[in-house]
Order: sequence, then C-alpha cells, then structure tokens
Amino acid sequence: MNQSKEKITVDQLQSLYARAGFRPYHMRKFEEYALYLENKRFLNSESLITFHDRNGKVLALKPDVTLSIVKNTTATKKSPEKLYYTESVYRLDPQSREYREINQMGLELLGEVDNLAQAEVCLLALESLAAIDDDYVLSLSHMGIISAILDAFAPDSPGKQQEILTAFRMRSPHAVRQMDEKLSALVGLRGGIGQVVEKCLSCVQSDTMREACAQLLELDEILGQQRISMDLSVLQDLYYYNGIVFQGYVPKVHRAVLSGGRYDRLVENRGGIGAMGFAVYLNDLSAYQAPADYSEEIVLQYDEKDAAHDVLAKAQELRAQGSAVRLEKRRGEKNA
Amino acid sequence: MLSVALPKGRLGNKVYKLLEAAGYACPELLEDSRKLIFTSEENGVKYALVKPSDVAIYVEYGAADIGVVGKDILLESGADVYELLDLGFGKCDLCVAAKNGFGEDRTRALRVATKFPHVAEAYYRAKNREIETIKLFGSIELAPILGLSDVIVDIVETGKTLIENDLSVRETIAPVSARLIANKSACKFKDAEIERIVREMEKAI
Repeated sequence: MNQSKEKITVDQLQSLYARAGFRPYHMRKFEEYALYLENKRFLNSESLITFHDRNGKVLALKPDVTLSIVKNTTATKKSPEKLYYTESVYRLDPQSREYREINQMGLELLGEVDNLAQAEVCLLALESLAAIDDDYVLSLSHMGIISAILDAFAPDSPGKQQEILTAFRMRSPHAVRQMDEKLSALVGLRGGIGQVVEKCLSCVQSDTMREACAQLLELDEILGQQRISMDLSVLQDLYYYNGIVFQGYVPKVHRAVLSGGRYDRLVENRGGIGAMGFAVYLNDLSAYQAPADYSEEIVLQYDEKDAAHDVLAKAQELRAQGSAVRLEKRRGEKNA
Repeated sequence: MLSVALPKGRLGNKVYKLLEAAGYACPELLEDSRKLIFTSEENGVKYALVKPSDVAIYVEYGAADIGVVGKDILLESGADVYELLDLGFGKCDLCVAAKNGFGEDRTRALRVATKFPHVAEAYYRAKNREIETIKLFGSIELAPILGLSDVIVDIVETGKTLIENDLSVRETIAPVSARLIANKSACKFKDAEIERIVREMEKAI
C-alpha cells in the first residue's frame, strides 16, 4: 500500500525536528477570537470561522498556530523554547473566497536567537525542503534591507512605500522606474548572498542596511549553502518580521511550500526574547502523489448461492498471501 | 522547455509577433486551426492559447511558466505572480466614468457597475466610500444610461465610446498595458531561461 506523500513527509519532518531537540506542541482546534482580532495584521485576514461557547464568549477555528504558541510561551532569554507542530488551520482562500482546511507543520524558536540559532533554523528549513524533493531552493532576504530601502527612497510617504513593496514582491522594476533609477535597479535582484549584499550596500548606506547585510554575510559564512538564493522579492509583513525571512520552493509545487523568518516584533512585550520559525504547507504536496492505483486489487464477487463462510475464507486466504481483496455482491445478470 | 500562456485574440497576435522577433518563433501557431497547444522544439517553447482573462490563473498555478496579460485583468485577479516586464502596448486606463453632469449623492452607497469588482472594491475601500458593486460582463456604458448604476469602473482606450454615450471620465484608477508575468516557483528553477526571454523581449519591444 502506498503511503501518501503528505504522511511520509510529516513522519520525516517530525523526526528531523525531534532530533534537533524541538518538542511537539499540540493545541485545540479553536482559540478565543480576541487573540486573532488583536493580531489581524499577522494573519493578513479578518475572515475567521467563529462561534460562541456556552458563556457567550466568541471562539474561532484557529487560522494560525504561531499566535497560540507565542501567547502561551514561557520562554525567557535564559531558557528558550523550541517547538514544532502538525496542525490543521482554517483560512479563507482568496481565489475561491471559501474557507479551506490547510494542513501545516511548523517549527518555532522562542528565546535568545543568536547567529548560530538563526543559522540552525535556516538549516532545518533547508533539510525540510530536502525531505520533500532532491531539487529545492530556499529564497532568502532580510527585512532590514527593505526597511533601509524604504527609508532611503520614500521616508515619509506610506503610499509610495506600498508601491515600492509591491514592485519588489512582484519583481517589477518598471513600476518604480519613474521614482528612481537606482531603486529600480535593486528590484528583482537575486543571486548569491555575497553578490546581492554588495549591490545593496553600494546603493543604500545606512546603519539598518549595514546591520542587515552583516547578518546575512555571517549566515552565509556559517552555512555556506549552495541551495540558498538571496532574493529581494521575498517579503513578510514589516509590522512583525524584522530580520531574516525566507521562502522555500520545490519544482512540482507552483507556490512557496515553506515560509518563515525572524519575527521579534510579535514577541516585543515578552522580556526581550526573540522569535524565529517557519511553516511547511502540506496540502500542496499532493503534486507529488501518484494517482490512486487499484489495478492490483482483487475483486471477489459473490451471490446468495455462495456460502458466506467460504467467501470470507477465500478472501482471507488471498489477503494472507499479500493481496488486497475487495468483496462485492454480484448484481445484474441472473445467470451469473 | 518554457511554457507560455498566450491570450487568444488581438493582444495574443501582437504578443506572438514580439516573441517571434525575440527568437521564440513557432510558425505552426499562425496556421488556421483549432489546436490550442503549439510546440517549437528548436526554440524551446510551448505555447498554450487561453482566454485572456485566464492567463493569470494559468501562470499562478504553474500550468504555464510565463504569460502575457493586461494589467487590468492582473489587478482584478490578484494573482500571486511576478510581473517582469511592461510590454508597453495595449495601452488604456482603468477609470471611473459617469454620465455628464452626474452629481454624487454622498448620503448613500455609490452604485458601481463593472467587469472589475475587486478593483472597484479595493479602490473605494481605500477612499472609505461605501459602494454597491454590480457585476456586468459587457456594454458597461449602458448601466448609468439606464439608471442601473451611478458610475462605472471600466477600461478606457480612446474615450470615444464614452463620448458617444454622453459619459465622461471622472477619476483614473490605474494605467493599463500588457505585462509579462511569470510563475514564482518556475522562476526559481528556470531562472536562466526566463531571464533570457525577458531580455530578448525587452530588446524586441
């Protein structure tokens, strides 16, 4: 019997994360709605499936796991928490405008996130992708770079900043060409970390930029990974994400199959800890699934004339030999 | 091999000419037939002819690596794709138009007839203006004339149709032209191939 790609991947990733000292995290299917309302920007959506408990409190089917982990964390700078989860989340699909159940695995590190810890999370992201496909790319960037770019080219204009962000996200240099030629040369920039960092530094000189680039070079030195491609089109919400961000791709899936980064701003009021993590979207792995094949299955037909005992015994005999046997009552032709 | 979603019709013909000039010819495509897929092994491209409004979907879902689509349709679809190049033709504007002499009643929701409900909703949401969207599939200009809507959100090329129907542009939402789009995942694994076609098309424009 063929196991589904999703199940195989879940097993592999659970073992991968457990071996790295991450502990499993489970949660209920729902949380208080207020948690999601306070952080609706993090979710990118206000549309949730809500209902009331017996006391009239509003609950929601969880659209996300990270918020619950952050809410309940006991991590401090001195004692970090390392967690992973396999959960269903419930979100509105932007294309069909219907709710979907999405199976997701994820990993979160809360506590002090130093360069080594950061590199380890990236390494686990790379290994997660390798578990899905031999061919993969981890596209990576740093929110400090985009912050520095926004500060340099549109310091006081939220409207222009939005235009710049869209141009980067969609790799559209033409969208900002009239704003600034230098800026448009940065849009679509990608390649090795060293090479992209050099171009960013030559274009924008600020402390934010230098700090982000130094972190990236450090990461490059620790990992020295060929499969990492720096790519300025990788962006997460600036409101929460402040450091390294990344998205993982495999050839058979049309969108990012993994996404994450450093989100210290979501844990700002928790005693100065940092946070970093990523999620793997399991639903999309169906692209790797071979179509269901029942050609090997034996169909054993029976009717009223057959003794039930014999039919079952025959089926069990065949099953013992390793075949899949499906019993079906013979229908239609009387003469059979 | 790169797969390309081409919009059927006038825009598609123009795009194909550009691709031909850029070195991606597939003569079979010009023959009159009912075929929808055309392959040129020597130039390393496979063309699929699809309805213009479907191009963004084909590319977003990776059924085609790249495609050409009007910015109006791209905005309406909200597809998560890369928009690599402005091809500079098929130029027009996405506009709000109304009957000449129309005065807006701010005490109630504005009735907007359009083929682009998402664009219209996003535009008015940003202005905090409540609207009632009326989705139509063609002859949008009729709506304000027959009293179906207050204004329309539509593409305006020369403005001739508007003038002939006693309508005029009140606001411009966005300039529109043909854009080369690409699937995000394809760009990670066929980067060099896609980069090359972008460069060659840019030269041929």
